[in-house]
Amino acid sequence: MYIVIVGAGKVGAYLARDLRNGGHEICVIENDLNRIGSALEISGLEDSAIIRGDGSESSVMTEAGIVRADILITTTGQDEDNLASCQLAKNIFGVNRTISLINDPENEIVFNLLGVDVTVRRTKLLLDEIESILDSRSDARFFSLTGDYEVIEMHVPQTAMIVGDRLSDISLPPDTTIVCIIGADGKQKPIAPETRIEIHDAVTTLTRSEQGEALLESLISEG
Amino acid sequence: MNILISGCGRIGAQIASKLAESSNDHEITIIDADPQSFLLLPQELRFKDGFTFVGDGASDKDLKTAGIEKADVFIAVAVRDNRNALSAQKAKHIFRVSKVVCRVGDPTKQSMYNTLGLNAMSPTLSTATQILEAVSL
Repeated sequence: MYIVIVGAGKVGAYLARDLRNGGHEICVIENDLNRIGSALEISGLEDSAIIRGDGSESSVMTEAGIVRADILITTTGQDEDNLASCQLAKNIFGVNRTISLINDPENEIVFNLLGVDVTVRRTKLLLDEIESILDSRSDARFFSLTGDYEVIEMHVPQTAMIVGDRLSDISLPPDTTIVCIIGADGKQKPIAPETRIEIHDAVTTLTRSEQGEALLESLISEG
Repeated sequence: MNILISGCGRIGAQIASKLAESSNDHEITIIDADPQSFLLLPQELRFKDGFTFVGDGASDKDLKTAGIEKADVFIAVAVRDNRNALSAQKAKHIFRVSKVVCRVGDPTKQSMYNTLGLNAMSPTLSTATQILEAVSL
């Protein structure tokens, strides 16, 4: 996919790196010359893949090839600039999907009302990060989604009661789905009632944020 | 009419003064983060009770304190286009102000915001038009 990222701060630069490593074509727009240097270093992008300019200016977006972009991601520290870029991308350039970082949580409502597809709160990112670190009972990783849902990946510890259980035997909190299971051999296991949980399986689940704790409890508990 | 103006630059100060001159019935408040900006207003308005409000014209909290929920008209004429567009869209979609006008320099954005239902004005376009008219004489 072709992805345009506005803002080459830490978030933008690391995002560019990960998406590029994932095989996507990336273009980053950044106004501040000082940031461009470190963003090139972090992301490993070619010089030509970073454009200097105001990412909420239609001429700059055109230069970045926004018309053929599949996704626009805005990561600047100014919510009004993020919103303007997303609105231009959607309404003028017909970009299908717009994703924005939100710096001030109160702006989330207006972003959602005005057609920004996905919003990610900066404070929430930080909280998630801290929670993941603090969660000493496991190496679970959290990823917040829209509408108070989150995706959790965790490895089944040796001591867990569910080791050896079939999926059909495991009771999960309501509104919770097992998305995928990767075995210790790195291969995906089928999501089927007869599939058995083994030690060190990486289980990825989708659940409501407030049930994260309960879910981890049911997957890790030693009985 | 209850009128809230965001941005006390030359344009905002001019609009506020003209409106205050035109009628005694208007209840006008002008909001700007920089108290110094109010020096652009005539003295009698600068010291009039409730006429000026120091705050952020794109913050829900400050807009509420400045009385946006009672406003019939909201005018966003701060310096930065994107900030005007954000506060104008909040005025329209969150606070349901019936008349919202917003200053946007970039003509592409101006036409987009007009399509999206904002009344967007571009000083760039109007100045260019006026100059062209003057030249053709």
